[in-house]
Amino acid sequence: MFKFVGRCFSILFAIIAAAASAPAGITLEIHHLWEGNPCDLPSGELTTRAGEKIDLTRLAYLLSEPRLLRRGDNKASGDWLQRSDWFAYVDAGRGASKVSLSGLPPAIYTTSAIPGTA
Amino acid sequence: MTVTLPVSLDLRSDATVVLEFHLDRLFNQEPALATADHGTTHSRQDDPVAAALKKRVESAIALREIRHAPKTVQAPVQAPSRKLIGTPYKFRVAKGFPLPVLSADFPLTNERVRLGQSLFYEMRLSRSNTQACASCHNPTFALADRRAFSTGDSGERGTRNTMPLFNLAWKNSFFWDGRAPSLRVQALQPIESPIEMHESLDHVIAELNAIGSYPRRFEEAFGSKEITSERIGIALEQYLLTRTSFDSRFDRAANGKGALTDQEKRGFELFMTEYDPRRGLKGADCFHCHGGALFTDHRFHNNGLKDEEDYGLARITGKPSDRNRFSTPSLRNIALTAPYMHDGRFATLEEVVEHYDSGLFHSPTLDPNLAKHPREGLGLTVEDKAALVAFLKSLTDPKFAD
Repeated sequence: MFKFVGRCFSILFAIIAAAASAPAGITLEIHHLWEGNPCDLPSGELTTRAGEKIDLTRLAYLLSEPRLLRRGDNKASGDWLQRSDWFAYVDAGRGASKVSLSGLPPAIYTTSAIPGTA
Repeated sequence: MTVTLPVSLDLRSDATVVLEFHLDRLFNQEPALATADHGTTHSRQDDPVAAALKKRVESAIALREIRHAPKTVQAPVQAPSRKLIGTPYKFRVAKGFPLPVLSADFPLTNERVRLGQSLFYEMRLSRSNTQACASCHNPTFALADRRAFSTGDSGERGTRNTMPLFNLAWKNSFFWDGRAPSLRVQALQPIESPIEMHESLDHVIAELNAIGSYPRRFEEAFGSKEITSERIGIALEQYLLTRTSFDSRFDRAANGKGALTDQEKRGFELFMTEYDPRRGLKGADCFHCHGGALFTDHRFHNNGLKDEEDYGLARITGKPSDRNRFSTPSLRNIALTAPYMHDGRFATLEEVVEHYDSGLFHSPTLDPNLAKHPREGLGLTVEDKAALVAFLKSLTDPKFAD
């Protein structure tokens, strides 16, 4: 059996902002899948490509420091809107897989550059 | 690690970003990850499994869809004002404890807590008026019962060991199988259980109404004299929430106001240390489920007890994967709450330690942190076992032994 309790990692949105007025919010809804199918925890027996039988019993991790890229910027210019004070705990086994990020500048966001891994 | 997603969003209204976390990609990327090669179930620093997982997470998360909320103009909503009835109860949280989430609908008040305490000791809650909650939740033993199974109003024995009652504000499911989602729901079930107090709530309400002081006290607590099962449950809940325990010798030592003996310190070291001989670690692995300030993870585990009659959590969820999983009890006050386990099968802490050292029953749902132990056991020495027991006894809060 296998337990993966993840370390903290960031979800980074490669998006650019236009105008801003009243705050808006994003809800992140995370679906955990195994080979395209919903994976409830504990998962029961799963077979990996290595032929190993595993049972995922726990999956928990922290999301932190979401970043948004403003219009006209790119990674080089580095004008990021970063929320260093935000984090969210996801625990798939307890059904806690929906988190909210509020207080964002409302605007039309479109994809611009896709930064590489930080 | 950082995960980057190409997302296009219109945040002039709120949006929902639906992500997919493809867990199979953690294991099936080339080279395919075989955890058995690494002999561990843990993703800890410097572990090759952890490093591989970390690298693969970045490509395991993908965008499924974005949903935009319809643009609406919301009128300001005035929250309904609820005037506080009674005097606020000052709930103390010990240093190092997480903050509990207390129910907002009925804030703790002195009047409700005192009413709940009276109901906890009220014999009229049982059919023959000879049993109260406290009959089985004995205040001398951390509100537990020294019998393996308590005896109910009609003389029938229960089927599970009576759980101690303290630090309940941090729990979100109750009973050994977690079937009650709140204390106020839990508190009413023993009253109506035929093998416990065997009484109807309607009759309890009638009896309480017949005693002059109760309608007045319900009025002080809730604003009217009406006695309902909901109010009984809330009052019991409020009393039980105030039963907090954080003043053991261990706590005093942790706060620099006392000291543990060398044997207790050795026990603590074993308690908090992994069993991972590959890294030269030969601890007792207790902390996985009993770690933290509350000495419980508030989860459900199969801890290696052979029981083919009581399947615990699986009775509630119906899932075979939950078979023999039971609520993890706190180890605070553990010296007061013998016998141990959901069926009270172990009379002493020495027997409990022996079980975890060499007595595990291996079944498909055995907790991974126990399943990794060698079949021949952990190999704890006599001194190690004595040290663990000594440490566990340092977790007793004197106020729960009154």
